[in-house]
Amino acid sequence: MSMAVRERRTEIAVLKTLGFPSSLVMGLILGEAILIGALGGALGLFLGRGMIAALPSLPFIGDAVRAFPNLGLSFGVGGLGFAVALFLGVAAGFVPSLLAYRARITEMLRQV
Amino acid sequence: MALPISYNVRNLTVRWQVTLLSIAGIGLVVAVFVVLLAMVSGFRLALRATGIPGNAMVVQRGSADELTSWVLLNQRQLIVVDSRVARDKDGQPLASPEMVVVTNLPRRVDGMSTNVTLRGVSPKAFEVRGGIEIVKGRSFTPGLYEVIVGERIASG
Repeated sequence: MSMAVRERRTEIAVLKTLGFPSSLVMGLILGEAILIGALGGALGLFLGRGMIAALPSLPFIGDAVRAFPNLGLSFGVGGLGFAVALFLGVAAGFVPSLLAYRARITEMLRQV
Repeated sequence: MALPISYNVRNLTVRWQVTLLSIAGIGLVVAVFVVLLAMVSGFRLALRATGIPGNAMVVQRGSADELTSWVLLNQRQLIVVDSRVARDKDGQPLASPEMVVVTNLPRRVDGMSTNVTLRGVSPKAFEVRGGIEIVKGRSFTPGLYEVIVGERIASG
């Protein structure tokens, strides 16, 4: 996220120059990070479900896993996984968005 | 208001490599996390489903599980007649002295050796443990070389 914001310093400066409030700019970056987090979470749940389905047929781990019949992706576990993804998104986006919120337009436009 | 948002979404598609990498990164983390959590909850469910809250297990001092515990015969008698042990309607203590060993037997499918837990029990075990159902055949006769085999082992 920091890289994505750093690449767009001038664009953010232009947005601010046009009159968009700093809070909106911050929200945009944060929203983008959360969107990526949500998409990642969905992908993760999808992958995780596939891995759980494939686990019992693996050579070594399979034997241990097969002994426990009720292995599945429950709602609680899935929800927690998705929450972790959202948290990762927020955590990754918070500092860059705060920097963009605080940054002065002149400084951002200087290094074109 | 719509402009900045569409700009934002377009930004994600223009920098699609970075976006995809981020999504894949978070996705992998979440996948591993979810699989581990599912295993943990699966193990916990399995352990909880086979335990009864009213049952206490007595093991040798210093042992954390049955396998490493060795309770001598005279001590076993002391434990069984202890007043804190529940009694059945005939006044007999609801206690089941048991012995657990791990044996090594060939697997039917590929002949590879695998660990099989063998539990020697007293006839009281059925009442004490509960939840044991003979699906096929009859129960073992005490004193003879007979075993009850779990459904999963019998079918596998």
